[in-house]
Amino acid sequence: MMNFLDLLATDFKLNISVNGTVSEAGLLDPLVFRETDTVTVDGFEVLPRYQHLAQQGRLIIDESFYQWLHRVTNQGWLLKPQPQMYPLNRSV
Amino acid sequence: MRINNAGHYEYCRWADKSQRGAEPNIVDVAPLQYFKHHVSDIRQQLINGQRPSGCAECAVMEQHGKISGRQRQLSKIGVRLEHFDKSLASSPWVPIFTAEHCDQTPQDWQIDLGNYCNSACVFCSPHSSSRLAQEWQRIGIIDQLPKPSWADDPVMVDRLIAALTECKHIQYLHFIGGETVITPAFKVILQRLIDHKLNVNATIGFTTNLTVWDQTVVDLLTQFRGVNLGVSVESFDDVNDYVRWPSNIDHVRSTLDRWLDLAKQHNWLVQLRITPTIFTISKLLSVYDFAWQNQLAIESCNFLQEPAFMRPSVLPLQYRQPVINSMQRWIDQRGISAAPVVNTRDPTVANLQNVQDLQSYVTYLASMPDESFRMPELVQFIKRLEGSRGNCVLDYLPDYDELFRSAGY
Repeated sequence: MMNFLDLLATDFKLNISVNGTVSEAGLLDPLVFRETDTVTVDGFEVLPRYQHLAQQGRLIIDESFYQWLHRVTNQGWLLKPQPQMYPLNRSV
Repeated sequence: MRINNAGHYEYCRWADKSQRGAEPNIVDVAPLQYFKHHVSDIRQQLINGQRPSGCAECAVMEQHGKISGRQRQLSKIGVRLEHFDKSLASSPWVPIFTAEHCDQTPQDWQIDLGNYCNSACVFCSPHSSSRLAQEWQRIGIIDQLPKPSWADDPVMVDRLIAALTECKHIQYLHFIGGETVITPAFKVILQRLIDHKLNVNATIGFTTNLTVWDQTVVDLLTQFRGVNLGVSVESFDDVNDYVRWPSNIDHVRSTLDRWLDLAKQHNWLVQLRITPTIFTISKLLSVYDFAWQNQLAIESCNFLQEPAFMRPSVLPLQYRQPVINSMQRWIDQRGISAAPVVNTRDPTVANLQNVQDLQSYVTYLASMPDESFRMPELVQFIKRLEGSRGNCVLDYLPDYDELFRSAGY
């Protein structure tokens, strides 16, 4: 079983299906689909379900897919870290 | 992060109660010092894939399909259990998880303000109810009253406020008591938060027992960005009077209506808060009916662990089956498939969430081992309490006559 740091070091991919054609994208990659496409990402229906979010014929997901999913599925607050006051990897 | 009634810190508001008191106290350690340095051991355990012993209650909730504190908090950082690996790796918190040191300040706190309370609920403890503490001392269950709360000390309140003013990104402060509304420190802290303009971004959460009202507190609350209001009720049957002694269900209903009107005016989130016990598990559906009609979500912190002799699982199996049947019928009649709702604060899916929550009680009652061997201990306890209160459980639960009498009632 992977530990936490192994997990974060893994190069995860999104499994994307557009009109039945399967491909992969990087986990944090922005995604763009035509609003008329039938799309699933990691098994979640994206289009036509979220067609109402498309603009000018395109659905653009310009944040990580899972953060976008959190938002569009009403998962509530997504807390963000505060800006760092000093470098994270400093040693004491 | 939590500061409990005794002033001890807890790394999680759901952490195992048996460990309360083991962590430093606000008297000795400043809040941010605890958050940045003392919690690092727990963070390291989690990073190493260990399950801290304090997480046991959440594990039980998840086992029975109840949304746990762990799931709720993970959701706030964008992590969902069904896609744990990828959602974790997508979380905005990844750089913080992998940092050597924590430079963050808390964004979500639970602050326990002591045991000021006008109620003496049967399942409560002296640490959470001053009225119960006095009664228990009078009838000899305890020798000494709990120490005064940290929140009674203005110096400690100053220490908390100083820490909060450093938390510019504070999102949520959840206060509990005692009965929060009548706790002097609640009013003081709300006013101080407003003075420091922390009300602009912070949402206040608190739970009230529906027996009190304080307009000054209400006026302060309306100045915050949001309010999550928890209202405690165990049943709309009069057994609520026995359990949440000495309340009166008619008065509880009228106070509830008043809070609901206020919440509607200010767009506050309201949740019905329940603590099901052996006394109320068979009368729980009245709360679910009310919630369904009013589209309010029901929430409970956990499956009751202490006192062990009041757990719903003390109910013998033959008494459970009719309860399971009625709950299952209620679920089936609603005709909603219980898809997991993790965000328990989304009012648009309150009814879906309630179906899911009730299903967790069906699963719990059907699968938890029979703990009816605890019945004599329960009977011994309530006889002592009823001697002080002049009431009788069988007036409220006549169907349990044989059950209680066979255990020595």
